[in-house]
Amino acid sequence: MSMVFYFRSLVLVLALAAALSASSASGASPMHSKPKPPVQITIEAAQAGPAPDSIKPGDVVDLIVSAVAFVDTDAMTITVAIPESAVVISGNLSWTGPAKRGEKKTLPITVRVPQKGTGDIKAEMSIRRDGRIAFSATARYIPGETKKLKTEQTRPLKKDSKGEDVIEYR
Amino acid sequence: MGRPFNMPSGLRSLLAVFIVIAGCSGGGSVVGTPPPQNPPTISALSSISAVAGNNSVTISWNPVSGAASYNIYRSLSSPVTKNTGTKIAAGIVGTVFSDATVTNGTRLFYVMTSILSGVESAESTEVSAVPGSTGTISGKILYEDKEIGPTGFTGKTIMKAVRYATVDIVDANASPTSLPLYRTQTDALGVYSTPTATGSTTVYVRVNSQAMPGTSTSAITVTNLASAKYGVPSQNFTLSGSANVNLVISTTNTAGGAFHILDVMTTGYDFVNDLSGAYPAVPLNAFWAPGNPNGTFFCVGCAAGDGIYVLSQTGGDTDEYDDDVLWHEFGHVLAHNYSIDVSPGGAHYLGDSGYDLRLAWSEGWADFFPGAVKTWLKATNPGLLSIRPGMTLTTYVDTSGSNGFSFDFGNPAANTNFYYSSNEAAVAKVLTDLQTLFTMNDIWDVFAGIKSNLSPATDPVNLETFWDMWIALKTPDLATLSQLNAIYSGRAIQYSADNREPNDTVATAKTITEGLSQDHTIYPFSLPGVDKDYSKFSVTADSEYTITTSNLLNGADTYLRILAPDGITPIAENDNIGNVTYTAPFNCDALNNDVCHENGNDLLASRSILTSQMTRSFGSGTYYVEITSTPTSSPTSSRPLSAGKYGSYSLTITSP
Repeated sequence: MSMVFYFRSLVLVLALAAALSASSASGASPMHSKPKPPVQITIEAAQAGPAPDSIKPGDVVDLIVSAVAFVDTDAMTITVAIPESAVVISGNLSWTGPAKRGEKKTLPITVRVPQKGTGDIKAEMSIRRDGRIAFSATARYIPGETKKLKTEQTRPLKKDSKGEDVIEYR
Repeated sequence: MGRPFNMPSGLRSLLAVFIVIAGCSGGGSVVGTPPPQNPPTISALSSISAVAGNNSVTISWNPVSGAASYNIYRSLSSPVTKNTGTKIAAGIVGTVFSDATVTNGTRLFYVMTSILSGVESAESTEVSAVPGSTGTISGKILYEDKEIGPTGFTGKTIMKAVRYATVDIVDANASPTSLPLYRTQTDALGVYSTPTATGSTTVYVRVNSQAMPGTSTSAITVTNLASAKYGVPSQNFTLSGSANVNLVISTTNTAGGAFHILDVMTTGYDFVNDLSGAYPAVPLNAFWAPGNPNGTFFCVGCAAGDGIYVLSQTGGDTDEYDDDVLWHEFGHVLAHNYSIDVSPGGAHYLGDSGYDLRLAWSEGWADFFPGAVKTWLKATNPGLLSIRPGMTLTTYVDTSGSNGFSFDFGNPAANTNFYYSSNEAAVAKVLTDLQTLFTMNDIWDVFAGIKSNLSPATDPVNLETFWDMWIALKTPDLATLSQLNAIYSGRAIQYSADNREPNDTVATAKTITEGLSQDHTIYPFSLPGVDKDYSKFSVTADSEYTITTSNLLNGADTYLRILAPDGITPIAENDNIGNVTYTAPFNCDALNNDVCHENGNDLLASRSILTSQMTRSFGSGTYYVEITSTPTSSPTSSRPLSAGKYGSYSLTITSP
């Protein structure tokens, strides 16, 4: 997962998280969220530590592909696509079968990442209904991707005609 | 006071008499023989104004009773007092003064005092003005929107007006905490105009992320998570004569997302005005900041403030340009303000047909709403649409980089992933079909009628409530009722009596054969009423029978009783299999982000066993089964808030 955070926003987000956490204890109304597809897939390094941006071409990485369907299905498919120049040392690149709602399916894979370039590894899941793909989701893992921590310059608060705070973005 | 002069003696005597009389009428003092007294007091002015002119400022005031004259103090900064200001006029009389020693374009602050017998009052309230020759600053403000296709952004952009937004004219050299010099607002085309004084002040125009659509007096405000609005300023310019200043907020501007959110909400306000005849009376806040990873949701009572929170995860999912996601949340705002929403909230996934009916109704309404807005826009103002030409209006798109997802709520697949009143997509489909066959105004009448007729709600509000309210308010004839039933049954929602009705009494009980399953609905044969389904079956003494309800759908919660051959004596009864009681707080599904008690898993099914001892006792003959919806509350049972009073079930009688 990309972690390029705007510093200022991060501070505000943490403040919000604290506020929301406090609100749940103080009896806030339920949160009405947006609808989500009933499929969720992630791909990440198996061991804690080796973030994508610390991996060099030629390194061997252990990856875990995790897929969850939030509906019962008898036709869930997981496929993992790797760059041509990458080598699979162990693990299966696909799985098909039934899954109960909320059941997590994982595919452990060991891959030698490309000697040259930074081709990404893509995992896709889908569930079928009546022979057709009903929902699908994808996730990508980019070995060697350089992440830059971008910080936003602090901007002075101005006032509008009501005396309320305004941040200007020219 | 006047100068002494020589007065003729006769006139002097006459004047003395007049003064004595006047003095008596005024309070009893006698000229020439004043009694000892305290120093007089004098009130400060309470009404004062300053009007800028070309190279002048005109100060005017209402006189203070008893004041002999007035002083005027001026300063370049606020606050101005007798000690900090310059006394520019002393001992003046009348109610108006023109200050001509000014520089155009420079703000000046004034206070006044009243004078009586050399005693000076406290300062008046402060006023200020910027002198100069008059001019007009006007222009047009646009923002760049992103076109959306079925799989996400198309890469095209559309210029749209920043509508009804507040616009400030700001002194570029003033302190950040200074108030703007002037304020105005854009119109429906993004055009603004404000008269100004001119001079040498360097200023800029700034549009703020706050709008008051149409005739609304309730602002829509988009702020960051620390409640600061977004402002986009123009280049600086000198305030001399008239100026035309246009602004374009591009998608690369950090604040661009705020103005898109503002525009989507503004359209929502216009839609409400069209539906209800009035703009929302409640202000609406949206909280958005680049990097916010906390999801998109509507919340009342959250400590950061009531309103819509918008996700904007750096490198991940962002929603500030997702019209449908924003209108989904706006739909929740409307349910909160114009109807009744008692959903437990939380995460919800499309394709799940076993949700709490309150959740399915709340989310189904919100899923339907974006398509309703777009349908209205296409008919009334298609230029405000952001979708690729020809795209289905009911298609909901949630972009997320290259991995967004879309779903057509107007055409979900015809299978059990999208059936029943416990499924949000089914609810949205029903509403979409109602909009097609009837009108959005009909839907709004019923939606709002829930609040006006049922508030405060004592029962759960769900699709059943909407159905009941439609029947109550629209009183459909049989033909229309048939059309309504067709729409609902298209999603396997049966709000109608089954073909075994009437069977509400022992006398009208219908036969059920051992080993064969029968399907029933829980819905009264005639409205208003409460359904009771009686079935009868043959029993042989000394035999055991199991009576079960199963395949509970559309939120059904059955209560089962077995009656003896006399049709009166209860032998056995059951609410839930295993005698599990579901009362708040309900069992929650940890795998589903704690969405509380669900339908669709037969958790609320019933089962009773007619033991061989019972059949021996009551003998061979015809026995009766009574199935009702579990009452909302009774000493022995209760229907969870997640369930409904209607629904369908299968009845089976088996004997080993």
